[in-house]
Amino acid sequence: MNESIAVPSLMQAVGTYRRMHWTRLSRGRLRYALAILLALPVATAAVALGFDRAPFDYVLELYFRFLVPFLPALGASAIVSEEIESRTFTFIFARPAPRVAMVLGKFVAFTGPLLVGFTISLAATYAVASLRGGGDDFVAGLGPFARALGVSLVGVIVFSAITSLVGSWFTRSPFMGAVGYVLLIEWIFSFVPFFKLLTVTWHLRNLAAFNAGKVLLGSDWQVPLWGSALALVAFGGLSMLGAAAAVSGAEYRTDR
Amino acid sequence: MSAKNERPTAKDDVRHVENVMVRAQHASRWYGQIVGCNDLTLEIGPGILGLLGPNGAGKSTLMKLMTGQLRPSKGTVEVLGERVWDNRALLRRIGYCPEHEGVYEDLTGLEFVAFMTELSGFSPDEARERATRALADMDLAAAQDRRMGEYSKGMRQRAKLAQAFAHDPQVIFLDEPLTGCDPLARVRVIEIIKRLGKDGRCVIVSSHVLHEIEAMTSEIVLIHKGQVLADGNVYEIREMIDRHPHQIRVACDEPRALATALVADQAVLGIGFDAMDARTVLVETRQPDACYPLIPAAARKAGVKIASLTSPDNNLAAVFRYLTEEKQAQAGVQNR
Repeated sequence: MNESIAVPSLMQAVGTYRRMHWTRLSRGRLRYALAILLALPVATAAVALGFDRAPFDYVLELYFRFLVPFLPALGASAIVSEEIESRTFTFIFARPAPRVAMVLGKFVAFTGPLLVGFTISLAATYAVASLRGGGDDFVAGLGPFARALGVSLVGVIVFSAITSLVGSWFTRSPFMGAVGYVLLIEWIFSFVPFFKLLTVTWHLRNLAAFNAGKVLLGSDWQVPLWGSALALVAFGGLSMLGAAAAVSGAEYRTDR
Repeated sequence: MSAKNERPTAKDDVRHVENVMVRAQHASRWYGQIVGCNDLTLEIGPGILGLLGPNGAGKSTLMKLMTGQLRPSKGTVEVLGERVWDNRALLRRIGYCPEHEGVYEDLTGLEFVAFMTELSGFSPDEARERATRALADMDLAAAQDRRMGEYSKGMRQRAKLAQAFAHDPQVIFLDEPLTGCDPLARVRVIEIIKRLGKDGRCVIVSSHVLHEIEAMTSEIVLIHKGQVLADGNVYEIREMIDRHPHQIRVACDEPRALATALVADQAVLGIGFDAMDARTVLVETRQPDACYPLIPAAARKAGVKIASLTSPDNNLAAVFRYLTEEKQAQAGVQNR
């Protein structure tokens, strides 16, 4: 028995979980599903070139309405639930590594590559959409593109955090739980005055200056950009705390 | 295992051992209305201890309490002198192999054991080295780079065992470790468990099969309905099986004729008929070795044809029933 070995620190354990989860993801089918879904807007932009619309704005709607909320749910919602479902958490919870590290490590392993995927997808979409003006719009539109890209990436992070938390509540069908959240909260609330402030999507649109809509009908009251940024930090941070809390003091359980 | 009391008894007293490594004191664990462990008190020292009990007896619950995966509803559970629940540092010195088959199917055996070892505090390189050694110990060196999804049940079991001791723990909990192992793998696993026990570690092995435990250790604790029913030497349990009335079921065409032929024999303690099956005679004996050859001989003499001859309690279930009854009788005497 080697007494000199210390228990792993949070960062060490996060690193181990990140590598472990990445190894598993790199062998799974999820990466193909994500690649196909992220290629869809590029194809849509190419098709939209033939219509009398602004292709990039048109395709951006696809990102904000579908891809940014749903794609993170595909992987992040299972972060906690898959361990319970397969009972593998009995191995890791019997280890001295901080349990919170499991959530953080898997979050980083999934979200990191997804951010890269979104960046490539958005850049490709923008490049294809810019072909409409013979390439003249490319430079002129770089500013709004960069802003939309940055906001989308923030959205991916926040939605990953939220769906991690939702997945820890609905461990039997975490993805359906996450879809339910997007449909009920993000979509329905986005039509309800004032309640739309509780949605991630509205704040993302506000930050991107993209079809945010009024907070209150008949009023020009606006939420400052820093307000939306703060809201997103709060949504994401609280969700990660919630997901971490779901495992940190958890006892053995099975959903079977 | 240093047990004071040498023979197994229905227990009300606490077994005390020297150099206690695992201690449960009045530990109870409820799942709503269901009792997993019930006021269980137990001390365990170095060496191998078998936790024996039928399915649902509370063995796995006890193991989960001892590995910090469950919090006791009442009482305390200590390992190496420290409370287990919410004690990360202590988990560094504990190894655990759960009973279920769930593993990370998309990891190779080597990756699985190495990552688990890393989570116990080792650097990636050292964890890999230890994992390689542990898997080789389990005869899985040739399969270490295959994904665990492709492993047989026995191979998964061995990989799970490898992760339980690769980080060199002082106390090891193995929940049904021989499940799914073929005969060769069983021999290997038993060898490894014995070696770990000889190294001065505390190895706690659960099973519901007596001969599995017998192959590893002579020290056992019988668990039933979440309580310690008896503890002591396995040979005494064997004697108990032979000593208490043993039932033999004989299905035949003339049950009454067979009963008449058997009833006078000294080896037969009692004769009855199965209420559910009129063609079955129930023979009770304290001398099963003498009784088994007697039945076909008596049947031949009486012209009875035997369809089948089985013993429903030639196993631990009978001992558990016997000890439970003894304990209830003791409780009855105390209440009076």
